[in-house]
Amino acid sequence: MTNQTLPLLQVDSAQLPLTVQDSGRPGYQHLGIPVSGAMDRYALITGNQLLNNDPGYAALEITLGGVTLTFTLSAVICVTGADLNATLDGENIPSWQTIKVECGQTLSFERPVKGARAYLCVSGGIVSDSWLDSQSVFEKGQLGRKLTRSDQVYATDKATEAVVDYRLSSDLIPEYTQHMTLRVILSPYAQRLSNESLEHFFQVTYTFRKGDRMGCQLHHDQPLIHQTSDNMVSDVVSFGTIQVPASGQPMMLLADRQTTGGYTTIGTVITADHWKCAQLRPGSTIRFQSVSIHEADQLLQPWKEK
Amino acid sequence: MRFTLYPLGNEAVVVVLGETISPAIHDDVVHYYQMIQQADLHYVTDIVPTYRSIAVYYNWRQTNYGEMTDLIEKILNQDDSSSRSPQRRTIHLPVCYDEAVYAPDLAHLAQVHQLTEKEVIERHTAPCYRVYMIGFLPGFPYMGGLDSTLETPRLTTPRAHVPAGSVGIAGAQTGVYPVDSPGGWQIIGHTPIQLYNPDSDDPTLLKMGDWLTFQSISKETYELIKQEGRIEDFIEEG
Repeated sequence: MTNQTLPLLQVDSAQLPLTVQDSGRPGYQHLGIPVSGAMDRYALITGNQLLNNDPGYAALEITLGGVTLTFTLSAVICVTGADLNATLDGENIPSWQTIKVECGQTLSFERPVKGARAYLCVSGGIVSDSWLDSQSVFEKGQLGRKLTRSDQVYATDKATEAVVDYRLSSDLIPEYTQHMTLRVILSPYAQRLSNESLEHFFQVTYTFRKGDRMGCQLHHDQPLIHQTSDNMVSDVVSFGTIQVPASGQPMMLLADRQTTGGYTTIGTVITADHWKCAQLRPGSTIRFQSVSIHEADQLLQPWKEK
Repeated sequence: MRFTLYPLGNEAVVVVLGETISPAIHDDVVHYYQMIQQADLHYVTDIVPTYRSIAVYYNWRQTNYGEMTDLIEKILNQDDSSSRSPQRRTIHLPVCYDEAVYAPDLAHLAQVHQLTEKEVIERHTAPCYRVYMIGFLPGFPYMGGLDSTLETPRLTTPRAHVPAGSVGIAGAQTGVYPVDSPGGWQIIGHTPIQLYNPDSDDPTLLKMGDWLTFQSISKETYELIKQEGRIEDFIEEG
């Protein structure tokens, strides 16, 4: 680290998972090490771009709220992602916009208004331990830990460099609606379900039951039925891969997923919709729509410039 | 060579070489994994082998599925089987099967199979196991070759905490926990060797394609290796 490291803030409370995440740790999946990284890449990258940071710089990922932080350094920050009713010394602050905070001010993320995960990006990025080329915390693999009360978070001496009041044009701000449609590229193993079940999967509305960074459980009153066993010889799985265990209730794998899996897979959500997966929360409803890889390539074209 | 390709979302091409667990299919996985690695393709971020397939993850911002499948097909069709290398790496993993300290399920497992504990240890240390793939946890080996008389179902109630280094049996599989984890495997021993070190650039001891034997050691040797053991002493190249 060539930059000087400075204490940016102290954690006053963190009731739900609060971790440092960057663009992730690709290149180690063959060793069973997941990619991890920010669940909502779009929110991370956008926050960093507004601050003129490299797009993959590390930020704090805040889940559903319950977090209070006190700055120990003046800095230019940008909050992106979910609306968790962020306040600075009690006053609401705008998201998707760079703002100046002063040493001693308190930033709170209270409760989920829209979406599930917010990102606190800071000019120059957050400084923390790095393993295998990434600062992304993955506790199960002994790669860092969740932040708790009294922990310090560090930044660089570039923390005040970014331009203030730089904001994202409103048409580029995602809508975190209660209902999301996720587009899926089918897996060859979808045929392991009965035809009726596969049709059913794309026709009904699923409810998000519970989840974490590894994956989430979805529910519909009518379980899916396998025409073969629910187990197959393990194959690779990815962000957005939908598995169907014997219960017939789908699970969707996310950033901290394991690298291989042996349950029947229906398909994988396209990258253009990964941000929606990251912003689901208890009570969210989901429908799935099947797209071909060629349609997906077309849909991804506008995302390639981001 | 027969293979099929499918898109894993829009971020990976999966090469499917079979549907079952078999040494012949896995020989193909090892061979094509090496070929794809050696081709050093642009925009590839991860190459992930399994029992019977290989995923090639690519940077979707810079390329697409069509371009990647063309490149991969070209590599697979260039195949020259004579280039198959007979090289293999064998790891002789020391394991303490001392029931009192390291093997909470050994006595029960022996009883279920109507064997003595000594017989269980002999049958577990006899084979040379093939590491089919790494998954589930960082550095966790999926291995084949367990003596069928030792096949045992998982615990009905998984343990909340299985310490790193635990050697276990689940169904027809045997394996080692590289990190502390909850788990339902029947634990019959413990290795003093560290299988996972996140501070290293080469974080896992075991790799897909390795071979592994378990060597029974005493409690005294266990302590000695724990203090002074070097991983290199247990690896055989050739």
